[in-house]
Amino acid sequence: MQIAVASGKGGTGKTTVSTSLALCAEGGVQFLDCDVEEPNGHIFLKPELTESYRHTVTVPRIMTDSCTYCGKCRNICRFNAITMFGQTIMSFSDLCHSCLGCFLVCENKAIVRAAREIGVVERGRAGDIDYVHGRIRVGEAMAVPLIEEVKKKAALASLVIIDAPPGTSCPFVESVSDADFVLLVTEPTPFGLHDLRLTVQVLRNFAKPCGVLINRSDLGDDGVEKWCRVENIPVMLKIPFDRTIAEGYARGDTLVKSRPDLRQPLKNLLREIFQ
Amino acid sequence: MKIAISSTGANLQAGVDPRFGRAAFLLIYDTDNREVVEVVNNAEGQDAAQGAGISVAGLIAQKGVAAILTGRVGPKAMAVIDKAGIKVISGVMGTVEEAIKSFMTRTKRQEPAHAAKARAAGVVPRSGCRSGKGRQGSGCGAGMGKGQGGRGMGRSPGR
Repeated sequence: MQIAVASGKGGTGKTTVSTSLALCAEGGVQFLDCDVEEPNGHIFLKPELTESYRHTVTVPRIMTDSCTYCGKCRNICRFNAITMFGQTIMSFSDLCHSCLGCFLVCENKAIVRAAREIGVVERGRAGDIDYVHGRIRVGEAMAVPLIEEVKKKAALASLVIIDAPPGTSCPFVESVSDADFVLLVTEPTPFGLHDLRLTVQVLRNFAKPCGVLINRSDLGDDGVEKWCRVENIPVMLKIPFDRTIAEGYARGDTLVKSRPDLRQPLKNLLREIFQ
Repeated sequence: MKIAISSTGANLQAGVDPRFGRAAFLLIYDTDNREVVEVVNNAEGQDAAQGAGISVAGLIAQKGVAAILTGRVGPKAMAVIDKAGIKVISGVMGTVEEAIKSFMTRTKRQEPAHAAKARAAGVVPRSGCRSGKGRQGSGCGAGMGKGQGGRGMGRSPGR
């Protein structure tokens, strides 16, 4: 069972909710922080990271000795990572999306494999939780291959909780693509609703089951709830605004540590998702 | 000598497009015959998800131009242009016609006799823009940072 915790809008409480969900799970649980551009699950779960390796993607290196300057590699590249003029050919590996198209079209085997490091994957234990996250290399634009690598660690048998990146673009899609359920954390504001709608729109393309958790539920307006009713999306839990939670967060404490009374509602939420 | 000008339209009266890779058009102008020899429609560059500058730089280099007049060239496109030994005049504004006129006057002003005379007379010549092929770098002009253009500076896949 894989549950992804996502939101359109940033800062609604994905990590707050996902880390505490992991702590409320019974038996073996895995926590994958797929927000590789700024992983922060470790700040709250405090795992002891024992495994770390660099992840690379394949990029072309053009051997000018065997290049005939036919231009096929440049023409197939949708990302403009290869350009050519006269007898000069240049590749820009940081624009490469590793589709390997250029390798396929080169008839002279003038393109050899080179590697570009995109980030590191780190893993460790936090109590009963098997914790994994990716950290993208500073300046790297492609998060998706690193997210794929983090997701490869997902164990089939146990419960896997994925902390997804905000937004609705490729990194989000990759993070939730294998999830059995997506829990959408939002806030009751026009911004929260706007981005929630976008997210639901994306998820409907995959026919993913999803539910909503409204954080800071006693602030803002009732727009989110009304919309969820109309769209027939269950509001599964509401967490009111509470200074105790904010203070705990600032210290690096999890939601269930700041508010132990929320443990039971979160357990119920997990049970509801399982059904 | 052939030069390329990034342009918002297909003729000399159009404004210089401050963007290089995402310019609407690139006009190839022959300074000897004083005519536009080619109009490159850059719709593809404008729509490119990324790497527009690189692609256009390669295309322009293929056409054998000696100089590029534009607003600003990004670092990746500049790497291609440098390799091709094309001179870049950035910070260019106004119409394409004005830009060409200004470029040609300045190129003429670089004549050694004139420069020597100016020096002798104690006149400080305006910043040099040598037209020799193979000289690399940004050349003269008003420099960077002028008018990035309001419309889409590429499409961010980001949040």
